[in-house]
Amino acid sequence: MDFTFSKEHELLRKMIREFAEREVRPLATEIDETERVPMETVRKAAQLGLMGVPFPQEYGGVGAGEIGYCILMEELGKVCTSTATVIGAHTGIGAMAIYLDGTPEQKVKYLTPLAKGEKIAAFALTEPQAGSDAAAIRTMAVRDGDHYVLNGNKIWITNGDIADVISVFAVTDKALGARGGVTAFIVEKDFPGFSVGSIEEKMGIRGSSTAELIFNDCRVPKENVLGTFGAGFVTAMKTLDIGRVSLAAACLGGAQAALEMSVRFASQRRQFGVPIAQKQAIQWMVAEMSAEIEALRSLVYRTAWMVDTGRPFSREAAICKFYGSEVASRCIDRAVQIHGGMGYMRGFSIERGYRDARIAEIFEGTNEVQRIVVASDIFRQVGVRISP
Amino acid sequence: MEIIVLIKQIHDPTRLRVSSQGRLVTAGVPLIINPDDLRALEEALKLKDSLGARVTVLSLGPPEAEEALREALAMGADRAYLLSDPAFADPDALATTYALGSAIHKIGLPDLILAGQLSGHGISAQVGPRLAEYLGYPQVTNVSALEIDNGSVLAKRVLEESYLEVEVALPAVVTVNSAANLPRLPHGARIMNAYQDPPGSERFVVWTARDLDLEPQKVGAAGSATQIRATTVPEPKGPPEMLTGSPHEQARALVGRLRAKNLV
Repeated sequence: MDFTFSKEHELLRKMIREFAEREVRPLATEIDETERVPMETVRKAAQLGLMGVPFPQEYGGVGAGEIGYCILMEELGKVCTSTATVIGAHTGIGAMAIYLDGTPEQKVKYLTPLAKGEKIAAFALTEPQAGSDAAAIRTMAVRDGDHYVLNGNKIWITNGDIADVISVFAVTDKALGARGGVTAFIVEKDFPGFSVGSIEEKMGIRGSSTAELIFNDCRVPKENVLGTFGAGFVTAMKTLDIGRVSLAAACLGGAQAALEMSVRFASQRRQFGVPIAQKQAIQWMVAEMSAEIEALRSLVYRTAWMVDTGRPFSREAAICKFYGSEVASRCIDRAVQIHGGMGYMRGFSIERGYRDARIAEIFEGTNEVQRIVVASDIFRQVGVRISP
Repeated sequence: MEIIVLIKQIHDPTRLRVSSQGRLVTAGVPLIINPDDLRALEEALKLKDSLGARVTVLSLGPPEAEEALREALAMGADRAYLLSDPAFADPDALATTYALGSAIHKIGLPDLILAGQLSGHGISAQVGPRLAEYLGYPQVTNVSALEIDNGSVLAKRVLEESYLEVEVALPAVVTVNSAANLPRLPHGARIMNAYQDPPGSERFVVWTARDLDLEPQKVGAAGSATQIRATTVPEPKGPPEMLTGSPHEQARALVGRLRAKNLV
């Protein structure tokens, strides 16, 4: 057994940490307040390859695999969850769907500029009637000559308003349902009939935009069918499986930052004549945060290693997602408590972190759905089938 | 144009402590490229970008110094030379110059040698100047900006209260200070490729004292004219005094203290 990172991954982490400190941390408060990650920051990330970390170099990526990508998400998660979300939705699900199931031509045409960060990606599955029940989507795609015509609305799409390329899931055969009746499409923002609807105002990850996408007789060339016709639901689930690992990596970064800030604060803040670090109540909170973070770190990077070495990882990815997001929530909650009134004040990263953490228990598959995924997999092994 | 950049790997000086026995505690302290050397490398890479150049990085150090050279390759250097041999251990500036100078003769004399002004480790600021003397090159030290024009280096030297602009014909040795630039971050893909050429390959050469035909009594501790007798930490000058009040009041109080000590 060897738990060390490769030399390349260590150097990659060093570069990413320096990027995060130089280019992201000074803007984190402003990103939250102005509700946008500056495109200049995205451009600077792209110059270092950070918009395509997991993808092969032949498609413009860094070639650092899921482990490298988790390192990116962990380091960004420490500094600014909004920036992690923008880059994460672009890389981990938007472009990832094209990487997993795109044809070589689609990878050259779409994945390469996405991996280089010349274009931004989004992933559009959720609809008003289809959240956890993703198979209930109603956006329809009907063949018309060399095109498919898409009609319907997608909601809560991260990067929806800034994306150039969107992986969209639509019903192509209602009778077949999720298994065989859903197809993935690569949609460019300039395709006729595509438009961006309302932009949501959120509690946290405010710098990451959340948009409604409207497909009104949107014409998509038939070459832009992503993966096998009718197998779109499989593409969606495969993509989300991988996305959950890196999402947990961002949670790991957030939790780690909460711990580090708490340790610093507790060492300096004096009450009753001593630093509050001398109080057992604080010590226990710090020890518990540390234990959960260590467990999460092992889980995240072991699962990333499973992805990179071609092992099955769906159950572990689901555990990453719900455990990681809940560790982050518990750690930032304790960090608020340790900071006392300071932890509740606007403009400090603790208060922002508290708001930012909550969404991770909800998006990319609610934690309840993840528990079903895990339980289904466990019961399947003893011959019991669970239906959601 | 051929440029050689001297790279020294050091323990991060901001993380070093001195033990109660007066020894430097290096355990757990990250190894980094000496910050001034990183700026020298950035100057070399800027020249490569603007004029075209082959950038060679050269380091004298233990096998771990490979990491520093790999980072330099990731940033954009074309090839690396590591001089590593137990016989090289604990050299002073004299023994270092002998080994580096001999290696540069073997690599091939370049048009420009760039080095950090000083290391955050030895802080002697001697290796650059000694190497220039050893090779018979002119030298410009403590440079914060440089350009190449028509076979000459135009360099801005930092003096106490002014700058000195100098011109010197190539080939030359230039040492770069901490004000020179903000070194670039390496592209992720270059990082992932930085370890592709194994030690001993054409792009990553490793030489021992024997490879360079060096005289044993002139390398490492044996070849050093100076020895470190002790490392001490200055005694703190008593607790600091914190000024309070409005910024205006604090400024007045501060000026008062400085006047009392005849400092202003």
